Amino acid sequence: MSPVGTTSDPAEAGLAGERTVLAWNRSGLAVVVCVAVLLRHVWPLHGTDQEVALGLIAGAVVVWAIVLAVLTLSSGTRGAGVPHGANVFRLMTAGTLLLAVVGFLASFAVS
Amino acid sequence: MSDQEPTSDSEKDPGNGMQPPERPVPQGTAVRQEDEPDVRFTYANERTFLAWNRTALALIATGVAATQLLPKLQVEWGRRLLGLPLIALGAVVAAESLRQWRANQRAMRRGDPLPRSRMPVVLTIGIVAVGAIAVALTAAGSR
Repeated sequence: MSPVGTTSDPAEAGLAGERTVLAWNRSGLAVVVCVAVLLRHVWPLHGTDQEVALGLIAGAVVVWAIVLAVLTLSSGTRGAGVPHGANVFRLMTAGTLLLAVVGFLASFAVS
Repeated sequence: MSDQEPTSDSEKDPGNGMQPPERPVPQGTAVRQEDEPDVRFTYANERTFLAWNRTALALIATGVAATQLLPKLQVEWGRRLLGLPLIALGAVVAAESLRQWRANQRAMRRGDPLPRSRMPVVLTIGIVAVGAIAVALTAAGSR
């Protein structure tokens, strides 16, 4: 895959890239929410645990943003991001499938 | 939709954006005699993948929430009957979104028509089935 590709309108390509970066951010938030729902069962929150959980969620969001920025910058900068390689898509799919498996197993642990 | 633009662009500016790829080429994609699609279409394909992936995550989260957060139903295994199909549907949607992204990318490179996606039909059938299960559980519980 070429990092940049071609287009007749650079402004439109930049806007498309920006929309794509936003889509990645929404996906990151969706992953965080999904993990939080999963953890809600295995980790009953008592006392200061709530603050710890909130901190972990905030940390996960920051980590996601940093990974996204590094991936974008390392694959040839174009300002608003560039199309990602196939490995990123495989990783995202594998992570989602892993969450599904964990959710499946967790459902049998319900008392 | 994207059949003509990449070719015409590369003819206009053969040096622009036609450099060797910096990232690995997707498996199963023949590189020779294929044009890099307009970057806007590549982005659109990427966003479509992400949208389906978010749908999968939402299905999984809903399934987990159904099995863990709903009060106990009168029907044995009622919560699991609701949640597990949603989790399974999420897994199917996630796997299918990757396959569809690959197929779209390949078609755009070759200038072929985009392949039809089965996912909307699968998703609709799945959600209707889960809705029917929910109605049946509610009816069974109200007896």
